[in-house]
Amino acid sequence: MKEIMKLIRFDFITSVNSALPFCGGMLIICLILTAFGIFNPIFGGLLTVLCAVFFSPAQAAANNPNFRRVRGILPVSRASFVRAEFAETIVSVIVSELITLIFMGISKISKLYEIFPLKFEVFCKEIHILDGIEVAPGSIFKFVHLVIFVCALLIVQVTFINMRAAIEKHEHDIRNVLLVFSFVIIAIIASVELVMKRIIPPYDEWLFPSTTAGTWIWGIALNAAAVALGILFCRIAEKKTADYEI
Amino acid sequence: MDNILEIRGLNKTYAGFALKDVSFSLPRGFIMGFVGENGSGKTTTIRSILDMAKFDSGKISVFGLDSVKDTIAIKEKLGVVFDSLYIADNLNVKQIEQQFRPFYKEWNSGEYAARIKKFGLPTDKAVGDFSKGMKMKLMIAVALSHNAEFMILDEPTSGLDPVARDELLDILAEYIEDEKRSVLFSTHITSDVERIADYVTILHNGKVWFTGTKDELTDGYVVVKGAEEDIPSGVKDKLIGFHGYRNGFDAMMKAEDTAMLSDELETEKASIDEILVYIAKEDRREGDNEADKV
Repeated sequence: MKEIMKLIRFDFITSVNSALPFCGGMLIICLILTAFGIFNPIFGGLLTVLCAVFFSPAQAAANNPNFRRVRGILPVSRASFVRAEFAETIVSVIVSELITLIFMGISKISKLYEIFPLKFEVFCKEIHILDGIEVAPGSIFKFVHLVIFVCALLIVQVTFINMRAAIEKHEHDIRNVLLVFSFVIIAIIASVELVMKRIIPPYDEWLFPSTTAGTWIWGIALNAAAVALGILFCRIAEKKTADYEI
Repeated sequence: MDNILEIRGLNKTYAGFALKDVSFSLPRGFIMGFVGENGSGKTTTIRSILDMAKFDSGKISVFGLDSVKDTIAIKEKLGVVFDSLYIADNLNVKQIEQQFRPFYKEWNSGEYAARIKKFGLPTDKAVGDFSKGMKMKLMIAVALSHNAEFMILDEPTSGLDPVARDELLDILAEYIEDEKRSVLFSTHITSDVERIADYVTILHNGKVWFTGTKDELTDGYVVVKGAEEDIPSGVKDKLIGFHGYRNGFDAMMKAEDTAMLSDELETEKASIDEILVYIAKEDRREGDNEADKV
């Protein structure tokens, strides 16, 4: 665990100069929107993506043959390098998920938008009370559920892509990203279509809990399942790459 | 004598290249020049020592520890310098210290700061903007700051100007002054080896062609010149890299065999550069002979 923490710190320092201006800027914009009560998951989605890619400069550097040689120098096991890479992905998605949920919560109680001129205030009010998206008659994806669901899905997708990249030595990265995201988009469209055609019942009836306590338990369980899958992908990558050359 | 590095029967096969039964050792307190032409297997050997490449058979011991099983313990006390920077080039020297410090129990921040100052490295500049010589010095500063007892350098002087090369060699010579530390450096700049190495290992086509002290190497071989008809019978087989031309020939041979030569032939001590050249010529000659037979 200590080795993984050291490697995350190592990558954090590599990434911070390049990633901080983008992630920090986005965070400030989201903070302002939150203060005015008009933060919604569309901005949250952007925040999630930005936070999730925080470590990408370090991971890109790690794939450069010159920088990769640091793996042969540092007194750290090979497995720790793989684990650290997965831990960075999982932690950054969970952190961005939590920030988004906190911002959404604060945004819901903040009414600072009332200082705006009347016309703009009405527009802000509409955003402020926005609670979910109607995907089919009688079926609403609540934003809280949506954020938790998307983040859990993101953990599974990105760790799966990480695993494929590690095993294939980053030879088919673009193909893997396209395949995974295409599959997810098709699955989402198909599942919405199934609800619209009433083949399956609306999600808020059986998938999304209606109570706050239920939502918390559901969110934690969903994230835990996603993390467990991520750990499984990590272990597979670790095993398959144990004899790879650095 | 206590060996800091010992390699026994190292074999590693890639498509189109193989390390064959590589064996040599480096005693504590000395510098070894690891020499050979491009593609001779120097970097593969170094990568095997660092457990970056998995070898097929053989054994590598560093500080008496197994290079695969004890790789983490070895790397705690090992400094490595490659021909190019292995650090993200958007960082400055302070950030690099923050990155490396947690990994080493014996990291000494005072030593790092002192080395950075001594080497004249700017603290506020991104390392990507450093000259090649400065990058080398930075990697050495990192190695010295965690009290490395053994330093491995892979082609450290290639691409450096003569002044930077000279400085680097001085740093290495100073590093082993306490006689407890050792250096293995691979290079094809043989003048560097002649200047600071105590031991030399020559790798040729994945095999060890010579390993021993520098004096054993330079005293052990001579360049022979003269007319081809003056070569006594039975001597031609002992000539290495024989090259005949219109007015005579030149070749290399073991110094111990020179008693067999006639007085008409000239001999002079071979430099390491000449030794490498004659090894390559011998290779070509053998290749040509094989082709002629076919």
